[in-house]
Amino acid sequence: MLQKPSRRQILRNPNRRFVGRIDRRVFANFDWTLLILVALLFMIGLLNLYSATNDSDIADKFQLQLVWMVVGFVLMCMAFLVNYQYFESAAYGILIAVNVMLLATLIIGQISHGAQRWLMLGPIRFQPSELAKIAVILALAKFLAANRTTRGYNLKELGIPFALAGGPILLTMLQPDLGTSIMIGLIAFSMIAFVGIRLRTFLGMFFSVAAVGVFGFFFLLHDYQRDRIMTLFDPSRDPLGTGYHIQQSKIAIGSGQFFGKGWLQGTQAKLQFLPEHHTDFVFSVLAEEWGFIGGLVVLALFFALIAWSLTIATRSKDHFGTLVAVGLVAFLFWHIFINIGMVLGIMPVVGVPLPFLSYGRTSMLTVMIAIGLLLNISSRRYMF
Amino acid sequence: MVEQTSPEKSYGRSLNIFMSAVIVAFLILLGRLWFLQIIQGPKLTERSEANRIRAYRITGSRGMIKDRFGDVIVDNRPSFDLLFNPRAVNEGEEIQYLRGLAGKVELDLGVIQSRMDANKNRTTIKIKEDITRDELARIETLSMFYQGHEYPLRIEKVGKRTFKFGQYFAHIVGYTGEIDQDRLEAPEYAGYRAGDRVGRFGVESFYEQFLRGEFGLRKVEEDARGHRIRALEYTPALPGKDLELNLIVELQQTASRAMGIYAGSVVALDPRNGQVLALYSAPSFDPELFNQPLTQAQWDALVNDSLKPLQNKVIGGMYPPGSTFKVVSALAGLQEKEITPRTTFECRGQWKYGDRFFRCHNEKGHGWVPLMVSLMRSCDIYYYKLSVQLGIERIARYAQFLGGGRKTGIDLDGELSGLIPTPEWKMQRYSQEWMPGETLNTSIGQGSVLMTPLQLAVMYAAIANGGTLYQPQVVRRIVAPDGSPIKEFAPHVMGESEIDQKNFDYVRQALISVVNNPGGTAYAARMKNLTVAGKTGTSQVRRIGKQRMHISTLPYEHRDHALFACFAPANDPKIVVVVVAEHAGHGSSVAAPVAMSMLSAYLRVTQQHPELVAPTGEREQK
Repeated sequence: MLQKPSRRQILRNPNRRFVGRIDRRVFANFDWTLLILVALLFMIGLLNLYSATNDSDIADKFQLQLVWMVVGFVLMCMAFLVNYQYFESAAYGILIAVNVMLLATLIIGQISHGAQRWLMLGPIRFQPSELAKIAVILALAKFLAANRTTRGYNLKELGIPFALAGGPILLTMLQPDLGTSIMIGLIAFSMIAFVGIRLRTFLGMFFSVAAVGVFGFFFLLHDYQRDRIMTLFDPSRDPLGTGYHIQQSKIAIGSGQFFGKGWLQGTQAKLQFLPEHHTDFVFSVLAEEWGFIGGLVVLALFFALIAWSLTIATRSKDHFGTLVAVGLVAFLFWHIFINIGMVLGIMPVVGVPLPFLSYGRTSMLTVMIAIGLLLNISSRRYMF
Repeated sequence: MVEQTSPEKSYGRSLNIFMSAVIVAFLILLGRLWFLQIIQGPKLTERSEANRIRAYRITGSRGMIKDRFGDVIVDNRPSFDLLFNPRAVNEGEEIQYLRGLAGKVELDLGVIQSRMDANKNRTTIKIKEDITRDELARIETLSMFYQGHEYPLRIEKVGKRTFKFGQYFAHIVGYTGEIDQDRLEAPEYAGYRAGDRVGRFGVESFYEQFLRGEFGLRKVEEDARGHRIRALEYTPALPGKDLELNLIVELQQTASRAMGIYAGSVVALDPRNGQVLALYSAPSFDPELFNQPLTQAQWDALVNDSLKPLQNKVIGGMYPPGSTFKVVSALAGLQEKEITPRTTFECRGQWKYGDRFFRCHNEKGHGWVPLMVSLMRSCDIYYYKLSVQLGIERIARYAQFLGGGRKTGIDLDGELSGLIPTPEWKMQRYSQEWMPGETLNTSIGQGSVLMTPLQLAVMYAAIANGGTLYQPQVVRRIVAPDGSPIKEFAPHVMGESEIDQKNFDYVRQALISVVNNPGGTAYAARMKNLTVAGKTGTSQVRRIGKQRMHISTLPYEHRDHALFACFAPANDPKIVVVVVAEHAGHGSSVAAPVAMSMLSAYLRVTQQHPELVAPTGEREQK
């Protein structure tokens, strides 16, 4: 039985210092399965994005996506090479830094599309809210790994985890970026639930969240957000307004039928009927052109990725690794489930990108970091 | 702090639950994907096609309408409609955009707003018909400076009706207008859509199926902004067929001028075949008015006009025929052998029948009157006495033999059937017994008898041709755009009166004397170069009282109608003319001169077109 290494032991561990001294076992146990799954998804994503953007005024998005992919690959390598135990010691610091950035975004951030989401760091423009997802995963994993329970957490014990996740949730909601805010909440909840919650606590939380949700629906949400939730339940409520997106998405997907219209042949996206078809509604393009077969393949790859990542969590020999992996699984799962559910018309239109397929710089970089961390944990499973 | 365990042991259960949850979630997504793509796939495919494929219908140009000699009466002129594509501007900003066009083109934004509200698919809609050349130029100029992706306005060239002899033919050719709900639901109007122009009146309506062009179709692929991507399918529109009428422009013009200020009807038929040579209802209107939607003020002016310009009085006006009806009583008396041409009745200006006095228009009386004089001088007492011998049933039967009480079947909408009263009719209508005095009134065309001017013309045509009732025909033939005939309208016999030729001869002789004998009521209107046979009529709107009042002292609506029915040449009739001038006074002084103008014009026309008086071909028997 392995003992949790002490902070000293970790710091003395030569593996974590720099790349040149990385243990050979890291490469010997490299997780090729994960990398191949990810590569396949990226390939499909690029193929699909090419079709979604070519021959239109957003054709440059394809080249840009390739650039982000290269940058992301570098970040992935970094997230992979640095021993994840180093992230454990730095977790709280990262979270604080992210919170500061989120705060800065609110004050000096750039406004676009009615929300203050962007922060300029020299020449680099990025969304700290995306980074917040990773930061919350690391911080929560660190805390939960150190404060485990076998009987489930009660409300009192959840105070600190709530505080860890609550900061970024609140700050992103203020931007306002409801999608990210909900996403962080779901990831945090998934991680806590993974470790265990008492039924009583869970129910209490559930009902308070529901109460806050109802309150928020009527008093905190913006009209457009309220509309989007309302039209989820009845998209025909406003066929020319908010329901239009969902309606056109369903038409695109449904008209793909079994075999699809063929690559580059999707009329809904090509003729501009499908809005946001290179970002949030990119799955509709895929389903339109590749049909049920294509949708099935992508869903199967996503499922394989998540199932495999869960086994990474299982096989990790330390709790922090397991919990980070679980957090990353939750990160991927909720993005995939909410995005595809949205384009299929069974989830609200909250503006969540689809990992690997959607165009988007910050999303691409965050997903790459997440994959890098998963590879990191998976490849270091025999190291303690 | 709990004891140290490996993650695999601590979280085994959680992992299983998570894995199960993930499986369920993916099955939900997969199931939904299946539902949309396989179950709803065909339906959603249709909607995707409906999204991108737009079918534009092309309207074929309407056929022309020409007169008997090929003069064009109704043609098409190019006109420009302004279309608006709402998809080319941001949603919700459509009206704002159109408001920005103020000063460039005049738009009725209220109407457009309601059309937009109904236009859920944001398809291109018509926002103005028949824009002016100036507006056209301004819109074309604007499009050159347009900054956006796709110019939201489009001009569509359409054909508008243009009338060469508008006022003269208004009631015959009628007009076109937007299709109404009744027509839209009728099976013969299948393929039409709301907003299409169809014939609404006259032959434009009656011959809609021939005049209309055949719709063509252009299918194009368009993107969400209405930008045309490519053409998919094209079926050209075909022009409609042309109509050639039996009518003659010059006769219509003459009728219009001769009627002057009077309201009423002028109708001329060829008694040998029923062809309508002239058909004019006064006052007329300008059919050009109906090319645009009428304003409320224009409409009110037309509808509230006491002279009823929109009514075609030739087929839709019913009048007591007055003395023109006496030929019916005379023919009935002769055929039923109640009288011979020599039989005389005494006229003393009035006659007491039952407990009532029946008066003649000549209060001094005509003395002993034979048939010839009774018609020539239009004696009433003669017919009162004859009618007592004949009885109402026999008078009514002969009136029906001669076309009374039923529609002539002319190829125009809105014809009325008039009324030949009988005791059965009165019992049915009023549940009252027939009064003997009513027979007397009926015999001189008063009382309940009502005839349209066209019925009167058909009746006199039968007298002229020896008893054949021809259906009046406005349209002579239908011709394809390439000139090949589609349909020729042969004469159509509706019936033969069962009256002997010699009796027609007696009556015709009497009618000649009406115009040509110095004692005849129409002698003043006689023509030098043409022997005309005719009958005057002055139909009373109110009964002659003891006190006979002069016309100028009566209010307009109580004044008598002036009628004149005639045919010429008397010995070989080739034209029948009936004139009814409403509330105009005496048939001899008002109506007969109008008829004579028509006959003079006819003579002029025959000099140019001798084929008009040539013997007609074989007639179609029914």
